[in-house]
Amino acid sequence: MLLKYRIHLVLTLVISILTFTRCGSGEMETAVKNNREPLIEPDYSGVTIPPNVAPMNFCIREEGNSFKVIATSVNSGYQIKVNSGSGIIRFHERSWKKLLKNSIGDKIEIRIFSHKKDSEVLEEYNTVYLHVSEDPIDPYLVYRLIYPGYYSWSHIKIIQRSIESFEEKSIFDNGIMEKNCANCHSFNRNSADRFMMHIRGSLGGTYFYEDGKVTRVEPKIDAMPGGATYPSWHPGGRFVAFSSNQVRQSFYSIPEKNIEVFDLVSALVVYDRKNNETISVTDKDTTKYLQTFPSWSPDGKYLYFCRAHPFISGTNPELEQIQKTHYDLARKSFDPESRSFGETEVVFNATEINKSVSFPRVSPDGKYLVFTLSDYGTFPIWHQEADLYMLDLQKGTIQKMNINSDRTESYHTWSLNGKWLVFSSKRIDGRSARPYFAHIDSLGNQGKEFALPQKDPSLYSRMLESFNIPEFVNGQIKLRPRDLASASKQAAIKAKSGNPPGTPAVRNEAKIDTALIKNERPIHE
Amino acid sequence: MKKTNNIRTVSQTDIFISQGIFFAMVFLFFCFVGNYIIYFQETQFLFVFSGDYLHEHLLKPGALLEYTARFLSQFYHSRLSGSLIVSVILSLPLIITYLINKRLINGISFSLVLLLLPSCLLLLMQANYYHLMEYNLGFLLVLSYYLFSISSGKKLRQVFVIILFPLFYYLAGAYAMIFAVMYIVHNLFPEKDKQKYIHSLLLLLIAAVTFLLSWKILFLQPIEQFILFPLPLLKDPAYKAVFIILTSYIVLYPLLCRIAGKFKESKLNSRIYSLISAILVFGIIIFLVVKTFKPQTARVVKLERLIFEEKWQEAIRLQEKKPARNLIGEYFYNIALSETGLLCDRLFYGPQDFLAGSLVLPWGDVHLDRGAYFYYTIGLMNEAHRWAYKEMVVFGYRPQNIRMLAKTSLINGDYAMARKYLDILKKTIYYRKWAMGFEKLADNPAPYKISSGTGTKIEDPYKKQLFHSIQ
Repeated sequence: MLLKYRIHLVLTLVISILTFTRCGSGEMETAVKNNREPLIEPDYSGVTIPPNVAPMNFCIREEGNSFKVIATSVNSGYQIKVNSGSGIIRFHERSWKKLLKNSIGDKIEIRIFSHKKDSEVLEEYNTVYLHVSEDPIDPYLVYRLIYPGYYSWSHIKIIQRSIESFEEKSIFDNGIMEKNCANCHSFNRNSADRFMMHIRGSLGGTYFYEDGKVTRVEPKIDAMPGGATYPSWHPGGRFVAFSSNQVRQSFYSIPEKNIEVFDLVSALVVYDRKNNETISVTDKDTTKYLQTFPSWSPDGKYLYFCRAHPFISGTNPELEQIQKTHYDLARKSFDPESRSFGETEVVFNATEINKSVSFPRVSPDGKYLVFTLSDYGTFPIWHQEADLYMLDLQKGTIQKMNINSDRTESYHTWSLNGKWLVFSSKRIDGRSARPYFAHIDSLGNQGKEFALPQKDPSLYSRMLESFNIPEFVNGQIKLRPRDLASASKQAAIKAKSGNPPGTPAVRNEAKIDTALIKNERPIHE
Repeated sequence: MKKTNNIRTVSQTDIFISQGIFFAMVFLFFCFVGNYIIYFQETQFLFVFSGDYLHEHLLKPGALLEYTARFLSQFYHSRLSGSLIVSVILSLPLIITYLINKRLINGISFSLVLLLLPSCLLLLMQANYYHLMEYNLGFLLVLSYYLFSISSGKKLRQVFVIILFPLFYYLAGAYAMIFAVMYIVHNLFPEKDKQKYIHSLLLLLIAAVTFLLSWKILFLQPIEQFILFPLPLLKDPAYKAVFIILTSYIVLYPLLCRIAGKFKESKLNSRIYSLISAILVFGIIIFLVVKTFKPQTARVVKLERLIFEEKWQEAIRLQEKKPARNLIGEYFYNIALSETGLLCDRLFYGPQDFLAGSLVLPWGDVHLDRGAYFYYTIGLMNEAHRWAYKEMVVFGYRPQNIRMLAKTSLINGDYAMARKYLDILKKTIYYRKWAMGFEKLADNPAPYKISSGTGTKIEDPYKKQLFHSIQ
C-alpha cells in the first residue's frame, strides 16, 4: 500500500510539474493532489447542465491566498483558465459559451488548485465534472423576490432573468404600484406573450398580459370564499383554473418550525377569458372538501388538484386539527366545449400514508406528474421535510426524486420541452428559497440539480430574500413595470358568474373577515 | 473692525466668534441634554459597508444624499463623535453663507444675522428627534451650489450651473428644486447680467427635462418621490412651520441680501445693532430649543439604550430614580427586572401605570421595534425572531433587529441564517466586534447557556410547543 501510494504521489508530482504553471506568474510549480473534492458554493460537482446556461460561477471555500481553475471540454480539449485571489471564480461569458458548445452531450472537467502564501506547492483537489445535456432549457426564468417571512412586505419585485446570461429586468415593481403586493404570476404554456399575475391592495386585480396588451380583471364572484389564487392556464388559453382560499397562519414556539399556513376554506373555480365568466368546480353531491392547487394536464383534458377532509373548525384551530389535514392528489376530466367537469378521481391517496400533497405539475409529454409531499397541511414551503416526488402516470408508480435535500423542496415547474424541472429549495440556509434546475430524461431519470448561476456566486450566501414561484418562460417578456402601472388606472373588469342554476354553493360557513391588516400580504408564496 | 462712512460694521472676528459660539452651543447640547436625539437616530438605521447597500442608494434622485447621511449618523453611536458631527454639519451653513455674503453684501453688518439664521433654524429642526441628517445635508447642498453659482467666472459659471443641474438633482433630489427657485430669485434681483432671464429659463427647461427623464425613463419611483424626496415632511406642526420658514428664507436669501445692501449707508448698518440682533437670535433659538426638549422622551431613549446594551442594573436604577411614566419606559423597566430575576421582588419599585400592558407590548407597527425584547427574555425565540424580522422588513436594517435576528437564529440552531445576519453586522463600524464574538458561536455550535450581564445571554429555547394564530 505504501509503495503504491508513493508511486501515485511521485506520478502526480511529475504530471503536475509538467502540466501546470504557477497562478498568474507563468512559472512552473509543483501541484500536490489532496484527494478530496473542493468545497465550492454553490455545489456544482457532478451536476447536469443545459447547453445554453450562463457561466457556472462559483466560490471556492478552501484555504488559500490564490486559486486557479482550469475548465476543459473533455470532448474537444477547449480550455478556460481563471485565476482568483479571493476564491470567487467568474468565467468570461463568451469563452463559457464556447466551452459549452464544445461539450454538448459530454462533460466539462474542472480542475481546482489553491496556493497558500509561503508554500512552494499548488494543492490540487479532485476534479469536478459538469455533464452537459443536449437538451436546452427555456431561456428565461421569472420569479418574485420577497423576504420569506410572516405577513409583512415592503419592496416586492417580479424579475425576469435570462438563464443564458445574467441579464435581469423587472416586470413588476411595487415601488410604482402604491406598495401593492403581487403574487401568483402564471404563464400559458411558458409563453412570454401570455401570462397573468395577481396584485393585491389599492390597485388590486388579476392582470392579464396577452400579445402586448394588459387587462385588469376581477375574477372573483360571490360564490367564492376568497380571492382567486394558485392559477393554472388551460393549454388552449381560454380558461384559467384557480383555487379560492381563506388563508390563515399560526406560529410555533419550537425551534424546528416557524409558521403553519392553512386554509379555513378552499374551493376550485375556472375563469373563462373569452366570456369573462367564473365557474365553480364542484362535486355533484358534496362541497365538504378543501380543494386547492389546480393544475391542468398538458392536453387540457384533466384538471389535477389537491383535496382534503377539513378538520379545521373556527378561525383559531388547534395544531392537532391542522396535523390531521392531509391532502390527496385528485383529478377531474374537463370538456372545454361544454365547460363541464367529470367526477373526481383520487390519483394518489396520501392520507393513507399520513402525508399531504401540494403543487401537482404534469410534464408536457403527459408522462410524469411531479408533486410536493409533506407531513401535513397545505403549505409545504415552511415544512423542512417537504420533498419532490414523481408519479409515472402510465405505470402509476411513485418515486421520491433524488434531487431532494434535508431541507424544503417545493414549488416546481416544467420547461417547455419537458426535460428540465425548476424547483425551490431552501437547502442553502434553511429559510430563503433558491431556484434549482434538474434534468429529467425521457425515462424519468434525474441528473444532479444545480442552483441558478449568478454573476456574483456569493450572492446566495448573503441574500436574505427568497426567489419565490420560479416559472420558466420561452423568451423575453416585453412588459415593463410602467406598463402595469398604466394598466392599473383602468377599472377592473368584474367577472360574471357562469354557474348553471342548481350548482351547489361553495362551503363558506367558516368564512370570516378577510380584510388585511396594514402592511400585510396574503401568504401565497 | 472696519469703518464705512464713519459707521462701525461687524468685523470678521465678530463673525468668527459668533460661529464659534454657535458651534460650542450645538456641541454641548447634543453631547449632554439632547444626546437622546442622536442616539435615537442611530438606532433607526444601520450603515453597511457593502456594494448592495450602496446600490440601494443609487436608485433614485436624492438617495446618495441619504447614503451620506446614513454614513455620518452611524457615528451617533458615540456621544462625542455624534455631537461633533452634528455640530460641524449645523455650523457649515454659517461658513457657506459667510462666503455668499462676502460676494453679495461685503461690509454690511446685517450679514451677521443673515448668516446665523439658516444654522439656527436647522438647529431648531434638529431638536426634533425625527429630523434626520439628510435634511441638514440637503440645505447645505443648496447653499453650496448657490455659492458655486455666484463664485466663478461669470459666463462659465452660468453654463456649468445649468449643465450640472441634472447631476445636482441626482445628488440632492428635491432640494434641487429649492435651489432652482433660489437661482431664479437671484437672477430676478441681485444679478445684473443681461442674459439672466435666458439663464433662468434655461435652468427651468433643464430642470423640467431632468424631472421628466428621471420619472419616465431613468428611475422606477412614484412621482411624489421625484418631487418630495428627501425633504423633511414630518407631521409636527411646529416643525413644519420652521421648515417652511427656513425654505422660504433660503429661497429668498438673494433678495434679502439685496435689501440688506440698501442699508449700507444707514445708521442701522452698525456693529452694535448687529451684535444685539445676533444675541437676540441666539436667545430666541435657545429658548425654542429648550422648549422642544422632552425630558420624558429623553429618559425612555436612555432606558432603551441601556436595555440594548444589556445594562440591566443601570436601567433599573434609572427608572426607579427618574421614572419615565409611559408605556415604553415601564416596559423596559420590566424587561430589565426579568433579565435580572427581580421581576417579582421589585415590580412595584417603579411605576406600573399600564398594569399587564407594560409586560408585553401589543403586536403591530407601533411597537415593532421593541416588542421582541419580551419574548427574548422569556425564551420564546421564534416569537422574538418574528418581531425582529417584521421590523427588518418594514423599516429596514437596524442595529437592534439584526442583532436580535442573529441571536435568535443562533439559539434556534439556525447557524446559516445567523451567519448572514452576523455578516451584515461585520460590515459596520460599531457592531463588527459584537458580531465577531457571536460568529465564534455560529462556527462552534455547542449548546450555550445564559450568562446574564455578559452580553451573551443565550438560553435553552422554549421546549414546550405553543401554537398561536395571528389576529
